[in-house]
Amino acid sequence: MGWLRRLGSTVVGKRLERTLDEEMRFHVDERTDEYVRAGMTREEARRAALRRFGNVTLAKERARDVDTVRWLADLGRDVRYAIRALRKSPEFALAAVLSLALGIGANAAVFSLVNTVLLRALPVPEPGRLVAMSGAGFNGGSTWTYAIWNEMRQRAHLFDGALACSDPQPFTLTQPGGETQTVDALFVSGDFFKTLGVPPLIGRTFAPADDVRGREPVAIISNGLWRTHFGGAANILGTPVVVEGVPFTIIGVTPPEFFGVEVGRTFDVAIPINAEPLIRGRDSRLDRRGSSFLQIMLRLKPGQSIDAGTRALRGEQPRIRALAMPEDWPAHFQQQFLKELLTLVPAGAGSSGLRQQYGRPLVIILAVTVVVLLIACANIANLMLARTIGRQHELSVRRALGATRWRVARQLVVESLVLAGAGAAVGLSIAVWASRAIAAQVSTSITRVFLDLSLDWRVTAFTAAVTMATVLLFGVAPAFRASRMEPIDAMKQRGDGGGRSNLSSGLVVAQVALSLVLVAAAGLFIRTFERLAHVPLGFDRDRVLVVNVNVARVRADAADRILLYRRLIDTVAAVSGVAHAAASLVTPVGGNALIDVVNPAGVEPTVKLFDAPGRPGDRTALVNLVTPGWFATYGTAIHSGRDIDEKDTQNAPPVVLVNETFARRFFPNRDALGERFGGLTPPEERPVQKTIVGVVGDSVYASLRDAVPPTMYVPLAQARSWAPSDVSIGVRSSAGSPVRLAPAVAAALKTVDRDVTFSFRALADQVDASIVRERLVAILSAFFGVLALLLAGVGLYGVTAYTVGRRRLEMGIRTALGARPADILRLVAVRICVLVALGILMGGVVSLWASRFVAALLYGLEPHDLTTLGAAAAVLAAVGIAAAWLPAWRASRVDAAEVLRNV
Amino acid sequence: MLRRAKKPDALQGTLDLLVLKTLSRGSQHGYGIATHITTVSDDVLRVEEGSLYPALHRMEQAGWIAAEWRITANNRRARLYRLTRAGQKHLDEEQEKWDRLSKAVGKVLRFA
Repeated sequence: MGWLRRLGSTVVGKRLERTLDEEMRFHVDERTDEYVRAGMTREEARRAALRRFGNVTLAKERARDVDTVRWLADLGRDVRYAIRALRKSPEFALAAVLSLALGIGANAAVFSLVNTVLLRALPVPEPGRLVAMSGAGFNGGSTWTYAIWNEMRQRAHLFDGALACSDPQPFTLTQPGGETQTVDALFVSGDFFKTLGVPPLIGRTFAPADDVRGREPVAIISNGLWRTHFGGAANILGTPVVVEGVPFTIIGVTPPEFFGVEVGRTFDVAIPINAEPLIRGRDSRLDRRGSSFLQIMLRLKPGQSIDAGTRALRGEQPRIRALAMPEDWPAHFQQQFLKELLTLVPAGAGSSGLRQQYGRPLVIILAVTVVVLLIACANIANLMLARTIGRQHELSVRRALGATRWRVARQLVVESLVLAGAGAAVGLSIAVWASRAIAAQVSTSITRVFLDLSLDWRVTAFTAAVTMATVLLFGVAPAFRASRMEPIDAMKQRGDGGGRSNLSSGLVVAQVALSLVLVAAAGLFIRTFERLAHVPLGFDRDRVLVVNVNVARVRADAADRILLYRRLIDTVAAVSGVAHAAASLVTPVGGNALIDVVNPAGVEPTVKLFDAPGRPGDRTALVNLVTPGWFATYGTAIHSGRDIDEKDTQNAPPVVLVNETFARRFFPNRDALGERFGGLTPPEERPVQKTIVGVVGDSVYASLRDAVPPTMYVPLAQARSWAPSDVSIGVRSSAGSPVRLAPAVAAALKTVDRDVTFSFRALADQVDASIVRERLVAILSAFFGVLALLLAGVGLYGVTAYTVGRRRLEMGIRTALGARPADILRLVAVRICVLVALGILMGGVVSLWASRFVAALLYGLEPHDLTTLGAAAAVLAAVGIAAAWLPAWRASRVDAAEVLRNV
Repeated sequence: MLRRAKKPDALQGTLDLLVLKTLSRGSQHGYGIATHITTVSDDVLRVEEGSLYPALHRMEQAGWIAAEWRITANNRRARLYRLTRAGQKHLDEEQEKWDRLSKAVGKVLRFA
């Protein structure tokens, strides 16, 4: 425990000094009194007493030496010394700090994203008690119908509360001036905020009484909207906010750190679930028992385990399911619905589509940045080794003057610490900027991504750990070497530097190997993106503007809606600069999908839609509802037969167009034209037979990654007993970018009906947004790949230059004895080539092994793609040889006479 | 070892012994300790006063002695040191060592 007390006395060093002062003063005073009593004058006595006491300062210092943890004081000295030593070689210090800053900064930036997306808990009290209700089958099982929520709400007492909310909905917000903007709106249950434990910043949060149908519409706005839209006015409460044309009264504002329960998204307005019919009118989902749109989360009671919670839930499951049963579903589905188990899953970190999409890429990029840092460390270790050899004289003089081995080694470690600390400091500021820049890349015009990337303890601890690890990696070898320095070395003229050479060669090989891994990975990701970007789409991405139209609030019957859509389409088509216009329910890569089974005549009918959750069975096809002219608008070729036309109405015989894959899959070896098939039909009903009137070219449906699925195109006018409240009107420009048509189209749409709401997006943006992840991974891996190449090149250059420098004398002698420049060049080149080749070999093996981890992110490539690996190896070989050439060439030009004169 | 050195450390072991022995008679402040040693040794041993305080603090850290502030008769604050149990034990050991040594030296001197 002695060290603890000593440490304490370091901290309280000032107090110790005061104690000593007073104690010594007492001593001198007493001695003075004694001398006075012996007959001296007071002044003489005092001088004599002081003389007898001796050197006061020295005494104090001695006492302090005893009490202070010595090495702490020494550490300060070492740091000062290290800074002085580094100042003497500013190029080295700058190179080292810069490469460390890049390495550490990259790690901290990516980790900051990993932390926010994957690790951090929701900013609510006791997030560990939050769980989400999860099923297994329908819709991946994470969203629920209002009927289910209604049952769960009444069973909230089984837990410490229950809550439900929708995904953020892109709704229009009308300014007092009449302009609109799109905001993210959440439908939330009455006890959403109370169960989460989020207090209002001002006003109040919802009470269960607010979430009742027919109640006065109220809303809570986010801190962000409050500041940007309402200027942070304190008297905001009670004023209206107009969402989708419906005025809601603002009753509260949420605190700034609260973004909802979905990491990666945020919201502007929260409104009660039971206000949904006000906005969606007749298309309200509250009474549609097949419509899942709510996440349900529960708060476990203190001490209640997640298993206990699941058991309590399962106990109620049969009744919940029975009471929420969608009555209009086929019996087959109803059976599945009843059987599907309810499960609770941890939700303390919230839910996140972003997490599913970016979790793996982020971890891979983090691994990449770690490798970059390793390469940087190898470089610095090599530089430090060279420096240690260069400082041999200085270090051995220190040894000769009595410094212990440990003392000398420690001093070098402190130098490494100073470098790493400076690197970390610069790196952190890079990281704050870089993580935001990366997050901004994830946002698209389609989905606004919001991430709270503020530095927290995890990021700080990670950065500190990474920094310490770098010190271990690049500081220990030189320190070890320095500790082996003997005082006698100071006498020697020239160090032999033996041993260094092997270690640094090893480092170079490792650098080349790691760089190859990164370059190969970058190659795979770039080729993946490039392939995705050049997937044959089957439609013109650059000529089409997508207008998402919503007519829910227009008073029109389902049948009238078809007419309304026709009027809207005709009006848009008449706008100058518009070549074609047509509507569809689904747009390519728009994120939605309709699915049906295909039951051709003479084949046993099936009702099986999915093989597994999310995986269509082999008798299923995707469906789109389209209006006449849709194929011309999107630029999809009709290979045979005809387009649908105005005569294909509800009363006409059902017709359908199919794509080539559909024709091949279901009608192999014959012409599909004129064939008939039925769709998903309850066993007790007669299936409606559709006749194929046209076959169209394959085009991408939902994802560029998927092979083009069998697809059928049904006339919107023939959709059975159902007219959707929103469709997408595709507008094809007659020439040039379709985006400039937007104002004219908007003006035209308003003339048809004022209650129609709409938003625009270019089809090209929609396609680009669907591969933004691949683009980001390609950009980042390319960036880090180039960085790795650069670092490895510098490393190789440094080592070659150093080796050549050391062997200058040898080269001079060889030249003097008749070696030609080419011989000398070969001498150096062979060594470098061997190192690079070894590195490439090892890197190749590591790449082949590591590629399995990125397989899921690749498209159109095998993870073991030898072309990519070969190209990466070639690039590395080229960089290696280029980096080594200059010093080697210089060596070959050694002037023998001069070298030998200077021996 | 008994060589009178300028460096106080050379006599450190001896100084410790003298201080501990002094304190074994009762609590005392630094001035008192110095005076006692000088008086008892008939002015032969003079503690270098500057080195006394570091030694006291070192011994305090080692746990041989403990200190507290007191007001003296002439109304000055003084730091009083007293022997701890560990200090007593250390003193016994050191004293035994010293006795052995001085006996041995004495024998050699007599014999020569």
